[in-house]
Amino acid sequence: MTRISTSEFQKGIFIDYNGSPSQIMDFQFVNPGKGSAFVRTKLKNLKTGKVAEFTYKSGDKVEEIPMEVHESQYLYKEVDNYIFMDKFNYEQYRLSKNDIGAYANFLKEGDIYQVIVDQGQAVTMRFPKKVRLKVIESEEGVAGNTVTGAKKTVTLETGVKINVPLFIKTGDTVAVDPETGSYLERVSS
Amino acid sequence: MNPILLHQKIISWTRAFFINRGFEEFNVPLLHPSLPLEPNLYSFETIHHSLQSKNRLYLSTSPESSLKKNIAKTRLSKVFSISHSFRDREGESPIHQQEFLMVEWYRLNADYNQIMKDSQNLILFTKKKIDSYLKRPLSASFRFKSQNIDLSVPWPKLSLIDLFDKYSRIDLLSVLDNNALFDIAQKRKYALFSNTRWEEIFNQIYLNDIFPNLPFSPFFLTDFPSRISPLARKNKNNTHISDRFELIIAKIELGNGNAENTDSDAIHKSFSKEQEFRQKEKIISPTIDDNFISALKSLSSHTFSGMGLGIDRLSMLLQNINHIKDLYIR
Repeated sequence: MTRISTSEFQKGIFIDYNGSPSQIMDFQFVNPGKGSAFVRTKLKNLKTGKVAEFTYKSGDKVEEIPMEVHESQYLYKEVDNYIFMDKFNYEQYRLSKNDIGAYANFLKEGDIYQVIVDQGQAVTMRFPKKVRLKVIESEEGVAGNTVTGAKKTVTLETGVKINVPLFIKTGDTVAVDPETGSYLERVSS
Repeated sequence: MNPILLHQKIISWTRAFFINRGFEEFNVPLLHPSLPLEPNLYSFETIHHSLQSKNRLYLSTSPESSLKKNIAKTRLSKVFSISHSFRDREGESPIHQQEFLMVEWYRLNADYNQIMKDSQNLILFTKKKIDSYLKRPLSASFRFKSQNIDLSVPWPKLSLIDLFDKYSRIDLLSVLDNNALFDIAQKRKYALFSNTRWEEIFNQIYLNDIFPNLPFSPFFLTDFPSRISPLARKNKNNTHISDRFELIIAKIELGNGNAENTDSDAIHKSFSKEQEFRQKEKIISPTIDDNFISALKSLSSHTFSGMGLGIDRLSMLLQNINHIKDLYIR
């Protein structure tokens, strides 16, 4: 285990919080009035799934907990669970909608993802900052609608609908931020 | 409505509010060779390359020192400034940038309760101006994120002594020395280092135990310990507590105000202590502004009070904007 300082905090890493491995879901710098610097952190307990907030002094040190990362192929969705298969030992892993949140909308069957495993059980996955997906359906003929900042809705190959600029056509590949679901750029047409 | 354009209006209305009430406006310099050294307020350093030499200059963290010097010189009873302020060594967040716009005002021969009223009136005035400008029905409430914020006055005072007692089961007045507070910190498993300061533990407890329980409606946070409020006057009934307050709306700190400490010897001593700390920690720092100390000395027979309020944060709240960056184009 390594001790890391608050300046090394990153979303998604695991740290020891009150004796339990917890994932950093979010963190923000705060300076109370005429006070020193602090880091407000949202932590998800790996065992209970409970989310807690804790504010560290800037410069505090915590244990980073190394987690097993298994390269796994996303196979299919089964009710509210997402089934993955380990690329090396063919073990199957199951993640729930609660484990992966909005990222679920951007999982593409057959693609390889990094699944985080604790004592044989999948607990969450590493969330990519950018995903590239093909546009399979695009509304046409909405030109002139500038109120929404000249955007239109398209359907991506995973079935999710997002807003994109008007020049995006069916068959284009676009890059999307899976956390916010926002369009980033056109990758190819 | 473009938030940047409405922000410009909010700045103009802030100025109009003070001018209408007979306050004198001062445009204050931003580059200074020396400044007051308040704990945790760090200035940006820059170098002036003159033809003969290089001089270090510092960007002001607020218009405070310039305004107080102007009060000492002019003896005007009501002054204000709208000024860019710069803070180094602070992290960025949706409600904070290193550069921000501050309105700061002072009243000579007035107490800090009058300043609290000013801040209430300023915000109600600005809200009314926004409603009229956008041709909306006038309203004393607004939405910020998912909260409905009611601006009805008077805004209550919440004492840190009561909040520490209620939400942290700590008698604040009995933990004003390092050992007493550090004992509690240790029991509650807060990290302590050889250089941990009392203020850090005080604020860490505040942020973990009290902040989550604060109301969204406007209030004045009062009873700040004197040991972390060097520029605020000590309360005459209990000198461990200062006559200082913060205005908090939607859990966002909008400003800090107080009756002014004019004990120039005590202030000089606290600046010297801060200078030693910065030297020890190798933190860039201006030298102590002696003209500021003399200005306070010349005002020692007066009661005067003032407040600094972040216009960007006020604009974010009243416009329901999520990120301070949306108010400026870079």
